[in-house]
Amino acid sequence: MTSVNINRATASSLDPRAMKATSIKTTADPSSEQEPAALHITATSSNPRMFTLPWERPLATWPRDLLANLPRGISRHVVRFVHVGDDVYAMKEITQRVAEREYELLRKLQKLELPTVNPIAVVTGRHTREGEPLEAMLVTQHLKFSLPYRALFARNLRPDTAERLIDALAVLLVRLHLAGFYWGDVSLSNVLFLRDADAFSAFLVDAETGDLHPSLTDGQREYDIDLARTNIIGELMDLDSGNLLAGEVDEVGVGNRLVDRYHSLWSALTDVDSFDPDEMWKIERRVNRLNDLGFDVDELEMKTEENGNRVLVRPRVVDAGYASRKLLRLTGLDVQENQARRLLNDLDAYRASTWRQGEDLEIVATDWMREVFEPTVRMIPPEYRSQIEPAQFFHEVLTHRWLMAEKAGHDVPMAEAVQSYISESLPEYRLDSEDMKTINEEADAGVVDDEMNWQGAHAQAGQGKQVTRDQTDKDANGHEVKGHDAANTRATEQTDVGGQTGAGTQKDRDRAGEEVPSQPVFEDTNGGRSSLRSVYAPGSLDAAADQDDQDDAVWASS
Amino acid sequence: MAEVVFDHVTRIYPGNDEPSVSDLSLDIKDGEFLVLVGPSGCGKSTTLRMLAGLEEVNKGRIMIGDKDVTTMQPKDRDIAMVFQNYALYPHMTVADNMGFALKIAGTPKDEIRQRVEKAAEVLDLTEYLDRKPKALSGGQRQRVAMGRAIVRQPKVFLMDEPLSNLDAKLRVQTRTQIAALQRQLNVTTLYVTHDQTEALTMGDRIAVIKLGVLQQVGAPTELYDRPENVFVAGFIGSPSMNINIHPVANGQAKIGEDTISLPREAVDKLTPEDQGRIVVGFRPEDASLAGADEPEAFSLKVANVEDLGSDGYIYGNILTDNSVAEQAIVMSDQNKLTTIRVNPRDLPRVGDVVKIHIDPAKMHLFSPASELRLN
Repeated sequence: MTSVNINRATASSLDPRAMKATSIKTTADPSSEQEPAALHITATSSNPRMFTLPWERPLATWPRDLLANLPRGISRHVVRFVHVGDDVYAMKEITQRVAEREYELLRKLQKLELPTVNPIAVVTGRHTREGEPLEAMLVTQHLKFSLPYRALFARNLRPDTAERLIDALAVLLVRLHLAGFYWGDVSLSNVLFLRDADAFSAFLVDAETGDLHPSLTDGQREYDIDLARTNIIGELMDLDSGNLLAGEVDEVGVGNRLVDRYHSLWSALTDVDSFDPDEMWKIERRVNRLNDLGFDVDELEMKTEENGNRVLVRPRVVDAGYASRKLLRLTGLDVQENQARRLLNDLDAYRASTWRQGEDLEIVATDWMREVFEPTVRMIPPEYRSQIEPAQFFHEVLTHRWLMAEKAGHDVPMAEAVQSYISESLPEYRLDSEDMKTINEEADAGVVDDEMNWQGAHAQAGQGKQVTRDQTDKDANGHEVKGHDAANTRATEQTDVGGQTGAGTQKDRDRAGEEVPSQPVFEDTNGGRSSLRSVYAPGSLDAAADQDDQDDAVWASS
Repeated sequence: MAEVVFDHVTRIYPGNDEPSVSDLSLDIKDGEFLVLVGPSGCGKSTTLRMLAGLEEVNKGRIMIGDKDVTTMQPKDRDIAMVFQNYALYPHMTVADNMGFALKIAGTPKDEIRQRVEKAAEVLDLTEYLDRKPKALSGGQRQRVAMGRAIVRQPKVFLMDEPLSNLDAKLRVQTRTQIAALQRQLNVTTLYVTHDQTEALTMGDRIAVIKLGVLQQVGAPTELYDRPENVFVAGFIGSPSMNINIHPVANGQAKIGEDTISLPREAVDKLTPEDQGRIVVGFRPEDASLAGADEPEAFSLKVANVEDLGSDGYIYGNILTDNSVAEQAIVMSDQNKLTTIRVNPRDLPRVGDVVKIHIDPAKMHLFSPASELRLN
């Protein structure tokens, strides 16, 4: 057999980028690891506020004023979103070994440019003021604009939402498997979703059980797929039990869809094609099809059969992101794949409509940014700036404009489309506070590894220390109200001894039809509004200030 | 339920020359709790993953019951990986949380209920079956997660360092729970850990593995009392065994100025490769303080003492005259100090030189060349 093997990389070694990802190196032998005696932070960020956090307290008891009220997914560990300067970090309390291992793995996956949350730090050697050791903490950056699947279902979404989430998960799983990542715990709960034009993009958030290999065995891939199927069906059955799932969704069918989508994508990406030597043009068709799926082809491995009658071709696919890399190169915009495709299409349309086909695309792209894209996204109302990505906004406006034009029978100016979109469609981006509360309470209901909660178990009836915990929660609820409406809280504190009124008040408010933004990152629970701008402004200060005003407007009506 | 057999199984990772698991032959009896224990990189997880179907087998075969599963897909093997990162579903009752996988598999409703009730009984969750996870404590939630694996009634449970993501306090509780549960359920179990204490306290039998090669398989007491080689001797037991190499003269081990008689049958087994030396091992509890002029005792300079109330520990250096031939080569850990357990009321002072007598019946003797047991 003659062999034209272009691929020189040996399959046996890990990607060098992954090898040098971090200074943290966990061994397979936990006994060789020593818990540091004093607080130890290994971080990718130089944010000095990391040191000012109350590491000496169990995460479940951190003061509410540090926490960002964002929807949490189901986890067996205690997880909280914490304001650290301008950033929001997700903190997870786990053992040192698991924390270090996951940090190391996430760093490697980041270096391989895979869609995962960004690891920020691993914090070990935590102790209470009394000197009792506390579990280590893994810190990751909160993925802006992302939502856990439960929050997506809490909104009125299109009936095919479940299927679109599954498609995103299938792409993620294929990308991870191509890179040699065995997940060991695939589920909707372990990913975050970002809107990506009309689809979703999935990001891995939990790598606890994962492993990076030079390449995966079929057994590893099949195990991941089978587990994913079981978990997805379970998660949908759970939504169904909570009446959160549209009646017509067939849970098992959706689970099976993942298996099908995965297999068809995997074979599209990895199957060996067989051509006649005079059909070599078909190679290009295969490559184009892979680009359409969003994947880049790095190398082609070509072999001829011994008799020379057929050519066998296997593409070596590196990763998704074909369109988004092209857009990044042209415009500097870093967006999801489908969004990028939509934006590139609009750029093409702009080029055609301005009769500039002959000009360099790079130059046209600069003008398109200045004349089309930027003026449009500047119109995003401030209160939505933390909730919708500019590229997603642009995409949705384009869709909206198309629908308007179809209805009107003529073209609609961009500005008009934007105004119409903002008033008619954008409000769907809000998640009401009751939903948020439910989501986070549900998330708490699944936590297994919370020591306080555990010891309650050993007092049989769940009494003992758990009582303390409940009180903490109730206090916290009271605080939550305080953050929004100081006057109301004063009333609460005077009348409510049991601590339940806090929740009740919120509920009453929601019944009155009010909503809070889905990501009220600016929620302050210190009572004072003035502290908001200075301490908890995410992104730009202006956005925060505007957001703050909007919050006032919303709450003023109660 | 079924017996598991590894039949001359070898796994070589692509690109590696050395096998990660080499010619492993091991059987796990029907209903047995077998713990596979060894240090970092010894091949224990690879072994478990081969049984799970996650790693390919390069040579040999694996049987579950009378089925050859060597090339079978994981989901067809009828195994359950316990303690994956299970989270509970908040809207489902405890019963549904435990039984949903059976529902997916199309198991009839009556049978699901029956199996769930049986599992709940074992897990002490019967009265909670119709509640939601929210109403449960963390410990009960953990048991619901275990219930998920139990209701499937797999042929084999696989547990890969299941306690590693629990903190130290919960680890001890859960350890006891898992062991008790396995005995009640009687399901063949392969449990992988690096922790010899876990192995000793949980397993019916323990298999010690090092660098891909099986060292010894046996009941915990067998491994503790009669380690087959130096590695097992040093690995099993905490605090670990004192292991030193000493010169042999006239059927006696020379320890510094002192000599200790060795059993004839052991000395006879020494070969020229052993270069007139022998490995002497003894556990901290198998030695005692001796009088200053007592024979069959050696001198120890006390470096540290610990009084734990019930026990006292002496840590010290064996006195030698520092000649090369007589240098006692320490092979155990304990910061290279020799450890002796004594009555805490008899603890010497740091800096004292004391005489130590080893119980001759509890001495472990090995060949320095082959590292195999001699007595």
